[in-house]
Amino acid sequence: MTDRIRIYLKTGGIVFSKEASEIKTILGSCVSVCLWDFKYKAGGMNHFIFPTWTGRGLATPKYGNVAMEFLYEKMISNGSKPEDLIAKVFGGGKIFASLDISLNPGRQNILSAKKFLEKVNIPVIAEDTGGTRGRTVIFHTDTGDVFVKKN
Amino acid sequence: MKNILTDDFLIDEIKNRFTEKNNQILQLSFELDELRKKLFDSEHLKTKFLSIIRNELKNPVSAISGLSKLVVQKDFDSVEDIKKIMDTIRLEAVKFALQLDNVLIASSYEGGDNNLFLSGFDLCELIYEVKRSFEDEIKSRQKIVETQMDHEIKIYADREKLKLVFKNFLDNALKFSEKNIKIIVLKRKNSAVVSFYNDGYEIEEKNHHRIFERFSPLDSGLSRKYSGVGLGLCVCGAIIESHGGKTDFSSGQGSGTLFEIELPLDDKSQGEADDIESGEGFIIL
Amino acid sequence: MNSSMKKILFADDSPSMRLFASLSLSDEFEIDTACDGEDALKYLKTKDYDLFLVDVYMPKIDGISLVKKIREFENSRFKPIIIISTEADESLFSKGRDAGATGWIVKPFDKDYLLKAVKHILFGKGR
Repeated sequence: MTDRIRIYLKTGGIVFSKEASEIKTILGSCVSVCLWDFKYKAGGMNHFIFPTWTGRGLATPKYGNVAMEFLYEKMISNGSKPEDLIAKVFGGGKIFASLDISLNPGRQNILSAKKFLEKVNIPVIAEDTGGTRGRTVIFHTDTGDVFVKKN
Repeated sequence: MKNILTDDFLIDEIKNRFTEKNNQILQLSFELDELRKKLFDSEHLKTKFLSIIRNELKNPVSAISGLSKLVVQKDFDSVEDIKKIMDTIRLEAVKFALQLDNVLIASSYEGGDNNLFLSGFDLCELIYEVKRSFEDEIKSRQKIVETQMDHEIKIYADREKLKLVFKNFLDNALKFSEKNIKIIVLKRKNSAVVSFYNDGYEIEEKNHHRIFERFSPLDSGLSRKYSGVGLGLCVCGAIIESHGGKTDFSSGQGSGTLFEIELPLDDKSQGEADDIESGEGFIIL
Repeated sequence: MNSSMKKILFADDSPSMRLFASLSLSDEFEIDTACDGEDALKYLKTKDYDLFLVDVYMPKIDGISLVKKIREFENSRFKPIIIISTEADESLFSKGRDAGATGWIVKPFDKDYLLKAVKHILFGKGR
């Protein structure tokens, strides 16, 4: 097959592709959710830093609730049906060991992602989250495969 | 065991924690103020932005609606006359399409959506494609566009975004040249250099640093020496920057204007040679 | 060319707008179109115009500056000048007024509107 289009997903970004693409990102305490339409073989991914936008500053996809909403909307507006979507969740590591457990942003981010997915009824069929190490995540939007490596 | 939890000790501890919390509150209120200022600035820019967009889009739209209404209302001597007008309408639509692309890219960059869709392609072929798409405009403005380039330069980049960049530079060159435009593409070490030269009106020295500034309609907006440059060139700047490239430009001394765009040929944004093919350390989920 | 027709100079950097103005007004007026401020001044030196229509945003010499320059010419010191813009901007209009403009119209407009405005300025209401 022709080479996949290679995309590097930056922090706070969202990407969606209908053409076979390879999306790569690097996660610490940030979380990335890969949404895959198994019917159309199209996929999208986000990469957010904070769990929730609470009204301070601009509502950008740096925030989990915004990032999830945007990504979902993007897929739906491109013709995907909710029942054809599956999700894979990555990241949310506790990178700074000295942080108080209650201030664990990684964990908050994971919860924010899962809360949204539950709301829209999209099953999480794979995840590699938590721990204390960062991850390199590579998502193939044509096969739905995700390659994960701990850094 | 020594009992260190005396009343004095507790009071000191409470005092310390209080002071610390106080400092944190001060810090937070300072950050809040900074954020408020940023928001204000960005709102101000947004209004300026909106007014520039309004012009860029409204102008072609009003020309198209005015002219097409005329075609319906007026009696014409020949079909040729009507065709001439229809062609003008078509060119306005092309102009509109370019500005619309600029607006869409600019606002997606604003929203944090600045992803590059990378693929390998021939840079020279892309430039030819852009020049061909402007053929009608070149003819109607009676300008001459010369190209000078190697046979093939393979680059790994976002083809659609670079196409928009070159369209914008050629559009600007067409607007402000007297007669002659030259596009030169060369390889320089591990980069490609694309230069747009036009023999036209020069940008004043004092404005050189502002040429790529976001929505800087030079001369405070009225004397729009570069109508359209407010958005077009700034979008170009952003796209070139996200490819890891740079731009340079010189103008003046009666020798026209030259824009130079340098783009890395390799894809640096991937970072380490982290190939999945090597399979090292990756699990598949 | 009917020498009793009123002469209009239309300055706008958009070729489509120039074509549109020309087609809309050439039946009843003698109309010249200029592509920017510099071009307009060249025309100004060759003819005595009865009315000027000037687009605000133009390269080289912008609309407001052009209005000032038109007022400097002996023959056009008291002729009507209408500025054209895409937005109804109060500050823009006062700048125009200060420079010596008589009034303004806002894009987009169609042929009928343009004709009506021109006739109103040149011949007054009802004529």
